[in-house]
Amino acid sequence: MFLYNGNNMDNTGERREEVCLWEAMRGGEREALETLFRRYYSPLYDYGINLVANANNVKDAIQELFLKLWRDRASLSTPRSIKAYLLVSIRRILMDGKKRKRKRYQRNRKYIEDAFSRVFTKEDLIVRREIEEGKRERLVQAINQLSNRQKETLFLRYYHGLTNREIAKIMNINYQSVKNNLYRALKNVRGIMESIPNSV
Amino acid sequence: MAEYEQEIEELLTDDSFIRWIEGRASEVEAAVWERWLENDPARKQLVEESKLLHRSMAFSRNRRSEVELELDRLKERMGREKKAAENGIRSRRISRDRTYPGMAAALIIMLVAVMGVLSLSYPGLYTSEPTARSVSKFITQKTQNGQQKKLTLSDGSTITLNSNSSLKYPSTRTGGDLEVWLDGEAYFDVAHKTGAKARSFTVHIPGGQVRVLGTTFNVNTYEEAAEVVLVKGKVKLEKKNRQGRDVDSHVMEPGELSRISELREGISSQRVDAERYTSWTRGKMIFDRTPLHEVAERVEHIYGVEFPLPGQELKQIRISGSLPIHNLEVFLNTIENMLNRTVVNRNGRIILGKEK
Repeated sequence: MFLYNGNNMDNTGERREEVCLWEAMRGGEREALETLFRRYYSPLYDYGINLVANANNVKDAIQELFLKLWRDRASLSTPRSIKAYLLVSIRRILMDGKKRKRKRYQRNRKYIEDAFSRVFTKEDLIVRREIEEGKRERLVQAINQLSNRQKETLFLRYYHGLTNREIAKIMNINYQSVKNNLYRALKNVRGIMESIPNSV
Repeated sequence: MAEYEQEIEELLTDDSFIRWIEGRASEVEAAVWERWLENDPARKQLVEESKLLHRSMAFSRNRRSEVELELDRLKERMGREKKAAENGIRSRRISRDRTYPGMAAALIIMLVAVMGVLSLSYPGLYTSEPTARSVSKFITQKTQNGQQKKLTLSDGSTITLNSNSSLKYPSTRTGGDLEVWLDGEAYFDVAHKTGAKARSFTVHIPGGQVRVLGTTFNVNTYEEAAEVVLVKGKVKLEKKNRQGRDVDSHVMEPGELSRISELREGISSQRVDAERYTSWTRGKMIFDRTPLHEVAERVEHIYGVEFPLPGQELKQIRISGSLPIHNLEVFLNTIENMLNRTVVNRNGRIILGKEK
């Protein structure tokens, strides 16, 4: 039985609550692991399904990740961002699985780096009152025209709300490359949106 | 002009700028950006446009419905691994195993066992001839503190009634359609009927009604505003005024929570994690960063106690975790440890003591 006290929901309060949860998990509290699972299952799934288009593979990878966390809990340290840590881990598990399945000559870096091949639909964007229907449609079109790496950077930034440094870690590229990816992605999105007729 | 356009993208690659426009920047950080803004009036427009682009890039987040099932699979794996470790064997490989569908079945049986305090069958109730509305009588099912009841309809639909709730329905059926009146909280799993068997199912609540085709949803009228959470399918909410006329209606999507209040006009809706609102049907209360005052309200309704929280600060404490629903004692002990304060149940009034 447990409950965690996450006072003050500003950044530091949220961080403290997560650290508390993580420490409890490391200390062997199963309920803490369950709370982490409930909290991160959906975001992990939504990221993973963009990397491999197979629901069962993603579900198995999440199982493997949490089983490994539990097994190695005593030797884990507390990451700076728990979310980023879990996302890095799920990416690694999925990519390793993919690599194993490929024939040797197909195992090149490029293939792995460009895994994020999701085609977004209008429903993937939140309906906001101030953003009208037509604009949402153009935005999705624009995002889908980006390169896979630009798409992945945008997704990590805008879906998962991560910082440049966290994204760099997850995608295993350097800080400046993240900024460049993001800059080019945003520029392309704006450019494409403006070139599609029926403007605001 | 071109230079100015370039700046929007540049700003949006800056973590500090993003924290600022999202209102998460520290005071020092925000002050730097505010000074930057004041130094050039043209920057105001730039910030507005950056904000708009930033906000339109909002990907929707879905709560996956299989979370609990997958969590059970994990727990089962953890259990098996523990056993294997005790026997000196370590299983390293993880693959999708065969026991998975079997486990789901076992789970469902367990849920029924947990909830099966009372099981009713309708058929007898509705076989008598149609009578005039004026003479039709009502049956009321009630639950006490900590009690739940599960009602089964002849068509396979089920209604689970939470603690301190009542459900009224006519003892004779006037037609194919079903109508019930709810006070408190209930979870509905309505069998979908089409063709000749199609019928409407309506839940009356203060200030309106919920109209249903095959679907599962949760209705809670404990507080002043009734809350409806749709798990799957489709329901239509109809808000009525005091004269019984429809004044607003809304067709809900799965994962949506809508509120109807007698005191307010219209229906309000938001997206929620439906699992959290229906976990009581599985004997659990699940909280995820839930403010303590909401937890207290929940406990008041389920156990029929009073749980006043002195002070705003206390009310806003957030808690996460899951608790069994049938044991007030365990709950109070946990709260005591968490808040590091004494917690006493004095004749149905929960008193929080000083910090230890």
